[in-house]
Amino acid sequence: MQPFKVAFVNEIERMLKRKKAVVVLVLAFATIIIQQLGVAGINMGLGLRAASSANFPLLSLELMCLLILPLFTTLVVIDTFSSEFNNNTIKISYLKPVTRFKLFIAKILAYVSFVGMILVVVLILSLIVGLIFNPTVMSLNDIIKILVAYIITIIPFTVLILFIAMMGQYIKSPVGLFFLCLLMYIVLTGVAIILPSLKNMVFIFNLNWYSIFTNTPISISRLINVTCQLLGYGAIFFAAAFHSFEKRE
Amino acid sequence: MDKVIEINGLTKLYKNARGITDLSLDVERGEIFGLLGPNGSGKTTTMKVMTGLMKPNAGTVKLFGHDIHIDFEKAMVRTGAIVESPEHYLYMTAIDNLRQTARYYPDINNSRIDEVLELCGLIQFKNEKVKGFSLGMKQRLGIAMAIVHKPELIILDEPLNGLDVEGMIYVRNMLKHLAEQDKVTVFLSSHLIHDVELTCTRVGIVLQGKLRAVESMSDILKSFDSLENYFVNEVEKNAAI
Repeated sequence: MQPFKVAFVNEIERMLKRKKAVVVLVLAFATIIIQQLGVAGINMGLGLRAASSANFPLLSLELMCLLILPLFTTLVVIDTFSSEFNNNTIKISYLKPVTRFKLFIAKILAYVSFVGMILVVVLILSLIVGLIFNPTVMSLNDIIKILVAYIITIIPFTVLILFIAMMGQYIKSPVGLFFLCLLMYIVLTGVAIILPSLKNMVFIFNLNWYSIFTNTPISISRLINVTCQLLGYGAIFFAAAFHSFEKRE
Repeated sequence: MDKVIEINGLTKLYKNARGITDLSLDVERGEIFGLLGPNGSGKTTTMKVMTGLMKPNAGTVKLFGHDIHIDFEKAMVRTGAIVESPEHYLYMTAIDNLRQTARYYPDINNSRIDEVLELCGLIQFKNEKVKGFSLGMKQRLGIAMAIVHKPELIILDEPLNGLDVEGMIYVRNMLKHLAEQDKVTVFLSSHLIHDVELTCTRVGIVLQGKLRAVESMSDILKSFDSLENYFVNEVEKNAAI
């Protein structure tokens, strides 16, 4: 257990030392504030209620899942994981008394923790901001719904992390990898406009799968479909990424 | 004597057919073993396989009796290594780089880290980011990272690269001290043949991926004026085959 724990702590330390992760946290903070200003503007200018205190955390999560979090997760994973292969610093970890399996899991878990950290920050901020600016009473049901939504958001983002980790094994240039990911996203989004059924097949369109749980009644068939899809993609990406990580010389 | 390194029938071939073939070798505790050979002869490949960076096509490597490819953690926990060139996280300070290594081993506190930085002449730069370091300073930090946990085996690929004369003498004396006083085993490769002669107790000559000769330094110096003459003689002998 000890080597795994050390590898995990080292990954977290390196991620935070690179400052990009800190910038991402600050930007997440800024996004909530800007979003709230928008909501407040609609409330005051149009006399409409854009979001209640219970809705605001879910509104923030929607924005996070669709744009900010995928972008920043991709950036941070490429910046730390892929660049280690590009500048050969992966050799430092490979020469330490920790098996490649533990090392790989520690890395993935560190990125998952990073996403978790951002989600916690967004949750707390959006709750506070929502309560201050849109004061309505929040029921226990609302709180549970919000918590579940934030917690399960980790799952599709773990799949995204595994996808980038896998791509990073085959594409050496971090900049090239980032633009390839961006291009893939744009192309897939474009194709999905023409072929909407694509949205049911590609994991990237289910990063906001928490909405299955927050919409009532819960669609069981969609829940099973998306869960199996995420697990399937996750297993494939994990196997492909680890296979290459383990064989790397 | 107990064997620290056991290499048996090691073969690792690249697509261009270069690499190492059927290399077998034992190194015992407290020895300073030098691997000599021209560029591309297979020295670094041997070290990469020995440290688990590469998987061999055939053969085994055991460190402290543990197969490096089966029992990696146990084989590496008492080993420190620099292979090819020392790598560092350039965006971190020297002390942070050392801490990243130190965490893997029990009982390494800040005073041990400072002690190693002092030993390697980097104590005054400990809080500076490595991206500003010269080649020699990076090499010294690499050595510090390889010895911080007081390993019983040190594997060093061209450890004197980039060091000034003072640094070379220092590293040489440090390795000899570790081997003599603490019975640390050292396995190194270097193209600086004079330094190998002054440092190593036994040498192996690798030519075209094969281990052609293994001799103790004292025996070599009984028959030849210098290690260089011995090396040239072995190369010529090999060319004649």
